[in-house]
Amino acid sequence: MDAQSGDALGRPVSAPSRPAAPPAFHRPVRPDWWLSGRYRSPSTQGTRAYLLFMLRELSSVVVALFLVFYLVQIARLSSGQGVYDAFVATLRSPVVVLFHLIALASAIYHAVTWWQLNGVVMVVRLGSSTVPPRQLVLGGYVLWAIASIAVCLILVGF
Amino acid sequence: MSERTVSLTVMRYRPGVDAAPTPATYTVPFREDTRVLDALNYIKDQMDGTLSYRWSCRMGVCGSCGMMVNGTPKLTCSALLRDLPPAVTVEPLANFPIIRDLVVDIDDFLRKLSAVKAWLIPDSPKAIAAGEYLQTPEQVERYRQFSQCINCTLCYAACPVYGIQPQFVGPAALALAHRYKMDSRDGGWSERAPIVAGPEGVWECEFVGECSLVCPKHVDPAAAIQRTKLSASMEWMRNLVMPWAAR
Repeated sequence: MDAQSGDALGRPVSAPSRPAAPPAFHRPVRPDWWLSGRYRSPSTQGTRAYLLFMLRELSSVVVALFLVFYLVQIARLSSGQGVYDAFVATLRSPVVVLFHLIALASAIYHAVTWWQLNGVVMVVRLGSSTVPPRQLVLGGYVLWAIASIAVCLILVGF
Repeated sequence: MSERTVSLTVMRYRPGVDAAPTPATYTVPFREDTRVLDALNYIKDQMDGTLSYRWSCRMGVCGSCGMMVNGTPKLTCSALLRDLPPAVTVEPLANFPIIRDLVVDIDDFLRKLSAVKAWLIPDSPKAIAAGEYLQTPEQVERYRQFSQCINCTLCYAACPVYGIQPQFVGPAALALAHRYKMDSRDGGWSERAPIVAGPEGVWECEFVGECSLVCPKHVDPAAAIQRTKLSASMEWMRNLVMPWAAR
């Protein structure tokens, strides 16, 4: 279409001369975009929507730190009884206990948001109908509960 | 009964004159059925004819009157003043450059819409004389929701990722790419994949989810993007495990 150089009757057409457009204004993204509350979500989260999103992202750092802690614990276990006992003693410090409580809360939060995401992502068709997302999320919670009970039973059993 | 009024603070920007947008406040009378767009029209007709903004259909179909109303991206033709507090702030859609007053430059979005080839690329093209590409109602239902997009760009204004990373293809364009991926008549995925599943496509999305909340047509771009992530991952896995089956 752009290659057409004439009008409908084949006469040459010259592009209209236009003055250069004045500069558009670019609003800079402020570093505190997630704290400022300038954006207001239509959801109940309102001005906190971006903040809650950032907290969800940041909580994954806590979960990652817990995993590093856990790997160190396994490494200590392979270093002999004395080294491992000393490590377990440090686990009783209030700071470490507090860290683990925060890590547990973060992991639970991530598990909840993961199953909610599952309801958004998965499209499960049964014949010609689609399973409602609510049921998929509920199914996830049930699986999660069964797995948690199984893990608890194994721990108690030993 | 005395006439109710609303205090409407509108961001004004005159290119080449103002260094930055500045707020201007107008007191506008309103009735039970007055929308924000009606109030802007009142200002333009009765108070200041230089106020610039886009609008066309006034019924939530054309998608041109999107603005930030008290910080939320909304179609102003659908935003009733009676549902808002007595002081309302109207700003141009976030994350886009401001051309003048409430008019933003959406060229970037239009380029992305072209980049994802948001049109039908027939799986097996046939001559017009051969008739329509037929679909069952079930096949239509698979993509119908994602085909409701009116290109209003409210989702781009709600997306912090797009604000920080303007290279991100963004919610509406990716939702439309998913719409064609789910269309039984379409076979254009291999042409779209480099953009849609590329580094600036779906993987930039961090699933904030606000795009779906502000969408006036309930398109749910966030779901479209996460589903594209899933199918692109499955495809990658399949090609890794069974390279001989790669298309």
